[in-house]
Amino acid sequence: MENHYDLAVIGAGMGGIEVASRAAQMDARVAIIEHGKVGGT
Amino acid sequence: MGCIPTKTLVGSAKAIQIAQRGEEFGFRSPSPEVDWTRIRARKDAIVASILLRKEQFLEKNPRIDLVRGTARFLGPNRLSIDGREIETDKVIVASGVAPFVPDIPGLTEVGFETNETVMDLEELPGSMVIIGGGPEGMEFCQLFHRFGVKVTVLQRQDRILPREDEEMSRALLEILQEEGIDIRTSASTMQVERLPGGKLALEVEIAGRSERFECDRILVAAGRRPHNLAYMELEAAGIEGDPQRGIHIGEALQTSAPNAWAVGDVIGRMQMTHFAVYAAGIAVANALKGEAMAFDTTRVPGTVFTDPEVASVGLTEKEASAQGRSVKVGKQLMRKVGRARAIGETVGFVKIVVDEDTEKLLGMQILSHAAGELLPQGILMLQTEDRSIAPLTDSIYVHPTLSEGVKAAATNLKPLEAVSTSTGNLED
Repeated sequence: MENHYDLAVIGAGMGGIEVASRAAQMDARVAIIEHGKVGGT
Repeated sequence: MGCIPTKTLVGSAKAIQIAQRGEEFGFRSPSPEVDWTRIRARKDAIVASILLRKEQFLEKNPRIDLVRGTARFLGPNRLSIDGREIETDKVIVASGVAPFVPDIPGLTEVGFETNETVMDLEELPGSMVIIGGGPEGMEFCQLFHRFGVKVTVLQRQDRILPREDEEMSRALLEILQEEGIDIRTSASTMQVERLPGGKLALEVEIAGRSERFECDRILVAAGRRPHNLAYMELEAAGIEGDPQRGIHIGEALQTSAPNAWAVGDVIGRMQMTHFAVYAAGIAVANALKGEAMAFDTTRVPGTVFTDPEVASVGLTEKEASAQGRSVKVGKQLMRKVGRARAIGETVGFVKIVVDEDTEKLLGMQILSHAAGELLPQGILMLQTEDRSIAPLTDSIYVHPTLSEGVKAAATNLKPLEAVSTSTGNLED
């Protein structure tokens, strides 16, 4: 794990996961932060 | 979870409803015995398989670090997650929503369920009052009614599904009431208390009169508000937001901070998974490629998964008229559609809203079995440049299908040209 990212996504619900996925496809280094269940409510 | 949990329950509830229609369909069987434990287990298994896949995707992707914990901003480019600090160029907030709890005296003290807890109850209550008559309240009331719970819905506004076409809200209300569900509109809950013996009592004002309801459980389905913005300390990042409206965004989903965007339920409108996913695409392009794509809510569709479903995209008749347009509406009753009769799902109707002057499609609303599946015919037509409904009237549709109801509604805009066999249109 590292400490510098191109993009930080707050929340790994359906929106956040889509963001992380697309950003990763664009070669960005992404941190996605989730304090509950991945996938959201 | 993108609403999958409730849809698994919708599946179970529909199966139970069909099992009770032996006389109609030609079979004999005793009344089905609902097994709530099994219903929950089915839901959990389906949800788990989807969740696992999503988690594995995040964990396996070499570009993505899944950081577990609660995020707090230290500055526009710094976050602390339970003590661990990270730096980032850009931020996208997708923190979601939590159930909105109306300020009703006694409610918090007696305890209540929400969409986050009600599907995991160990046992079904004998009776339940649902506060809220929007999409959530309507889906839940029918589910639990079909599982054998005595349900009462209290809707504060004067109609259920206030954002849907008025004719459809009223039609669905009748259908649900006929099914045996007690639904009250213009009903404001003034107070809640727990009685000796354990039952809950609600004092409710309905159109000026006071009425009392008793039940085993209360389900709050009064909408959702952005999750706990306060703990994120958005101000440290220069991101503006408030508990009611969520994070404030411009038309390109950008927040007040130049390096931050927001997507999904947290922006306080269009709380639907498909909107979050659509917004995600826009936000990422704007954040990482410096674009400024605007999001467009006029063509975001929606469906309420009651039985029959209410599906809509674009403008309703009323909304279009309010814009000052001359409007014409093509309508088709589902009971005139052959396939609908064949499968015993004849309630509902299709409405196609067209601008009378330009002949362009403005919106489509469908109340029917599988309405959500029929809706893409309107979604696709709204995306074309000319928004003509000619493809709906001119295409060859398979007969017999429910979709012929959509074709017929379009054709009915020009009644003299309608030919019943070409639209699969049956007489009453």
